Amino acid sequence: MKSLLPILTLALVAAILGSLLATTAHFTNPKIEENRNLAEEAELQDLRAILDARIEELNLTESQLEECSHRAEIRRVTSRGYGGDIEIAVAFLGSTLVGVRVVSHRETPGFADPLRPMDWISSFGERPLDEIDVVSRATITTRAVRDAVRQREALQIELIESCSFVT
Amino acid sequence: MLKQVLKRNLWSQNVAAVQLLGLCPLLAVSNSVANASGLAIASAFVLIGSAALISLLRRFIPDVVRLPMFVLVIATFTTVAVLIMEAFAFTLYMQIALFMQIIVTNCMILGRINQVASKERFTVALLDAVTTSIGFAIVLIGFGAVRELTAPALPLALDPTGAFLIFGLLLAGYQFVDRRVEAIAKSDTEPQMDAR
Repeated sequence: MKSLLPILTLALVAAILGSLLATTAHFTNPKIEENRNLAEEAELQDLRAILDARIEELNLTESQLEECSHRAEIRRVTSRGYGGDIEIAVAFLGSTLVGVRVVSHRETPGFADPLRPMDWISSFGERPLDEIDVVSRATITTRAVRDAVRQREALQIELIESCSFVT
Repeated sequence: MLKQVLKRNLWSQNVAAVQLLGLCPLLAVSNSVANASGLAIASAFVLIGSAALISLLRRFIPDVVRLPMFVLVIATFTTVAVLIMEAFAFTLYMQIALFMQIIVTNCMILGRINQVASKERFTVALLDAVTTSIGFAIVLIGFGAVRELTAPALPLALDPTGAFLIFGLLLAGYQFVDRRVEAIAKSDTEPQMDAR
């Protein structure tokens, strides 16, 4: 019986602390969810701006934009990074890649720097895909993003081809 | 007593500058004053909260489960701090989240709890935790300020390499000042000894 006492004490304290944690989580969760959504929205907004700028640059008309070959689309893909899933948003104009943003990730701070807007991630859409190298020291993270974007682009090309074929 | 504790925890036994504890987050997060302040506040919250709770519970904590109990308490306070920061300081959270989470394994905190909070009464433990936190915050924020200010002239300052170099220099500076102060104190007391 005596040897059970430490275990019981530990269990009791764990239960009390656990409920404290649950309460904190309960009250902070809505706010955390809101923060995450806002951060995601900001990245998507960024991508929409890039898409709009490109449309303006190319002087595309409304009717042109409705054709498969010039349809503006933002597609989401998920890739496995170092710390967990990386949620990526890819903007296409027809089958052309226009821009990429990372919507959410769990990569180590510092190593995720290339994923910030204005950094490495901005080279997507500005340079041809096969010219974009992974960043050494953040190899796993950047390779995960690049490969996912490559795959999605290949799929997009296929989709647009079949779409154009139908219409 | 307050004066002694202050002198010990802020200067002569400063956890970061003398005991060199908790250096991993210190080096990682001190690239700006904002990040450093965030981690300093979070560490203070965890240390003060855990020390207070452990000190209150100290009579009921069986010796054999001492360490698991400490870690349990520290982990709870750390997670609470992380949740609060994620809810109310999201941009800062994005910068330092990882280093907030590893406050759990910060030996500075476990050390203070094991040495002081688990043995002393509530007020003593609280005073120790508060002064230790201030001592840690001074080093962390001061170091952050030095790195942020030197960065425009010396971009290396923001790299891990720069962090080690600057921290080494700061420690050397600390030792220099400390020895000077000690020497002055000694020369002040010596003539009196002769007179006796």
